[in-house]
This record gives sequence, structure tokens and C-alpha cells, in this order.
Amino acid sequence: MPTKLVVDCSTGVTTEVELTAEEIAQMEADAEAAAQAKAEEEAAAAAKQAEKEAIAARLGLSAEELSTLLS
Amino acid sequence: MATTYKAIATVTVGSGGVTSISFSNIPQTYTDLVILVSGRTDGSGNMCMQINGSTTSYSQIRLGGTGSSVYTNTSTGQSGASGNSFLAGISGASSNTANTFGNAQIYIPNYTGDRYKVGSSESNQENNATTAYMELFAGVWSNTSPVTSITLLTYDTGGKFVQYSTATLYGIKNT
Repeated sequence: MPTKLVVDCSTGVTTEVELTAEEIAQMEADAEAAAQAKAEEEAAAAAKQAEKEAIAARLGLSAEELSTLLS
Repeated sequence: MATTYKAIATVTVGSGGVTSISFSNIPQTYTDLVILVSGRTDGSGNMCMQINGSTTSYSQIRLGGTGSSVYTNTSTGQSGASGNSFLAGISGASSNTANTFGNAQIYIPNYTGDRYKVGSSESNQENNATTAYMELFAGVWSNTSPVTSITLLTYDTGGKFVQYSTATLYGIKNT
């Protein structure tokens, strides 16, 4: 069972506590949401890059020339 | 270290590792807080921080270097395995040289005030290779509550701080 360390600063007592089923479920849900958000972010970035390259192609620019122009 | 620093609490992770390290019931008698971490995780090494257990209202900027390149980004907090939070720095990663630990210093000024809370951190990894990350963060928690607890978490799903990772919370007085 995963655990967490909790230090009570008012007493100095450190306790290692097992995560509850709710905490584990929340952690898994958060991880799933994070993975989905990351995938969406990467897809959006890829789409934007493709759009840039399409515009560059219409203008007759190479990828290197486009990179230079945008840097 | 300046005499105005006082170590409030320190913790060392035992065998088996832990998913998070929390400082609770933080005394409201200092001006600023500092957390020094010597840490290593069993994953990427990314370390997050939540204030008062909150999983909302974070935003941040990041500047980092890998040893061969640099990067920057901004985000509305970090949606990691631990839910929304600050990214608080980089600790040692499982891919780093064995038995090395990353270092981070996290600074939280005016933590008892009634304004939004800000924080910054600087951190680095120890790795006997070209790739060794260092990162600077600055962030804001858009909440006016006094900071009474701080939790450090790993970014990775099911990730843990490994044995012998340590964290020390200091209180700083301005006189």
C-alpha cells in the first residue's frame, strides 16, 4: 500500500500514513486526466506545426527558411 | 545560514519510499518559508507542491536546461499524477547516477498574509552524464488563505520519493 509522510510542525512528530482508497482513486483519476491533457496539448502542437508547414509550402519556403524567419 | 533562519521540521524518507511529504500545522510566526530538498524519485524526478491541500488556482513559469538545450514554458499549474499543483523543481530521477540526489530550494514569502501566495524555486540534478536538468520556477497560488500546510509530491503516476530523500522546512524572520 502506498504511503505518505506527514510532519506535524506543531509537535515535530512525523507519521507515515497509508493512502486511503479514496486518495489512491483520486491519484489515478488525476493521472488519467493529466495524460489526456498532455495528449491534447501534443496534438494541438502537432496541428499547429503542420499548419505552419502548409503555409510555408504555399509560400515556397523550406522548413529551415521558416525556422529562420520565426526565430 | 543567517541566524534569522530556524529549522521548523525535517524529514527523511525511510525504506520503501513515500508518495508525498507534508508539513502540516506550519506555525504562523515567521515572515517567509524556505524548503530545502535533497530528493530522488523512482521516476522522472519532477517534483510538485500543493499548498493547504489545494488542487486548484495554480499558475507558473519555468526555465530549464538539460545540459545541452534550454526550454521555457508557462502553464496554469501542473496537472500531474498528484492533481493540479506547482511544479516545485527537479529532484533526482531514476535514470540518474545511482545514489545521487537532486537539490531544490523553494522560497515562499509572506505566507501568512491575506494576498495571493507566490513561490519560487531553483533546483538541479546530479548526474554523471551530459544530461542533468536544472530548473527555475516562479508561480502563484491565487488564494488569499495563509499557508498552513505544504505537500511535496512526485509528478509521476504512482511515483515515490526514495529512501534517504530529505526535506527541511525553515521559517525566516525579517529581524
